[in-house]
Amino acid sequence: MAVKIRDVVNALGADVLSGEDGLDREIGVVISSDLVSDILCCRDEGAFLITGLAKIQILRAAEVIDLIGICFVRGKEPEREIVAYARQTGFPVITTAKTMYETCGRVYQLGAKSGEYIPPHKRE
Amino acid sequence: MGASEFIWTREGVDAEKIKGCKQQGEEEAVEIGRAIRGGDFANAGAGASEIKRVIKKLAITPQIVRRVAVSSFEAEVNVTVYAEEGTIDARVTPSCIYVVVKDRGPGIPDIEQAMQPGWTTATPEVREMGFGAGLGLPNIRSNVDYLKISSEVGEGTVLEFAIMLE
Ligand SMILES: Nc1ncnc2c1ncn2[C@@H]1O[C@H](COP(=O)(O)OP(=O)(O)OP(=O)(O)O)[C@@H](O)[C@H]1O
Ligand SMILES: [Mg+2]
Repeated sequence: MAVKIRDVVNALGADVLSGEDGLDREIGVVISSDLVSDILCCRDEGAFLITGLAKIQILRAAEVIDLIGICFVRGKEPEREIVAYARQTGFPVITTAKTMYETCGRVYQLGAKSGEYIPPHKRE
Repeated sequence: MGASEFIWTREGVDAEKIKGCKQQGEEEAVEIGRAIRGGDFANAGAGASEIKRVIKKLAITPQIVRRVAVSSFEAEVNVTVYAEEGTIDARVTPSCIYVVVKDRGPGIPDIEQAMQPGWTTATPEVREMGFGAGLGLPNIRSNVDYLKISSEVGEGTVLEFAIMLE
């Protein structure tokens, strides 16, 4: 059975900051990084991002590769413009006080698959 | 120092076709252009978003849309991070997409080195915003069919790439 963003919210006891209507999106794969260029290496469909970097740049990168949602860890309080931007587009952003390690562990336990990471120089 | 150039073409891609793609032909073309301001991190990538929005409406596969969006984003962000100001212009024809990202800035003294995965001159402030993996230029190359970088130290950089649609 596919893991949904809602399942992640429940497993983490996470707060939903935006995109309530998108919580039933099915997670294709999960990726985790704080570096924009790393995130942009992802070519999987339906990727969900777990990150410690609560910046607008992350949201723009998300848009570029059509991520289905983002989870901020360590209780990172995102800038107000992030939440406003995400609400505008109905994009699901959730936040948890848990660490990166525990967040990834719990999401892994739900059965969500890992995204494939191939660095750019290994592609040609 | 001074001026330098880097040109790369994906194996199997016809160089003549790329030339045709760059030149203003008679065929119908869609053009998208935007200015980029150095240091304007809140809007970094806005040009790439616009390009993506436009080409998504054309009959282009999602895979190609993603390749164009990632490459445009990386090139645009480099102007925001390293240069004073610049422009991003995309031209879409039935056979290909050609993007030119031009800036007035410090230029790249050694393009070969800049192309190495992991090479970065990003400051700690830039890293705090999620940039500085040193993967932007390698990411562009892995997504495009043709890449040309011309740079002059103290003047600026022109990065252009083509993605074929056939
Ligand atoms: N437009 C530019 N003007 C001046 N220098 C540039 C420009 N673009 C790239 N560079 C130089 O090339 C280096 C490598 O660029 P690249 O995009 O590959 O990585 P990065 O920007 O450092 O990190 P990332 O893109 O992964 O966030 C940069 O650190 C910078 O020194
Ligand atoms: Mg870069």
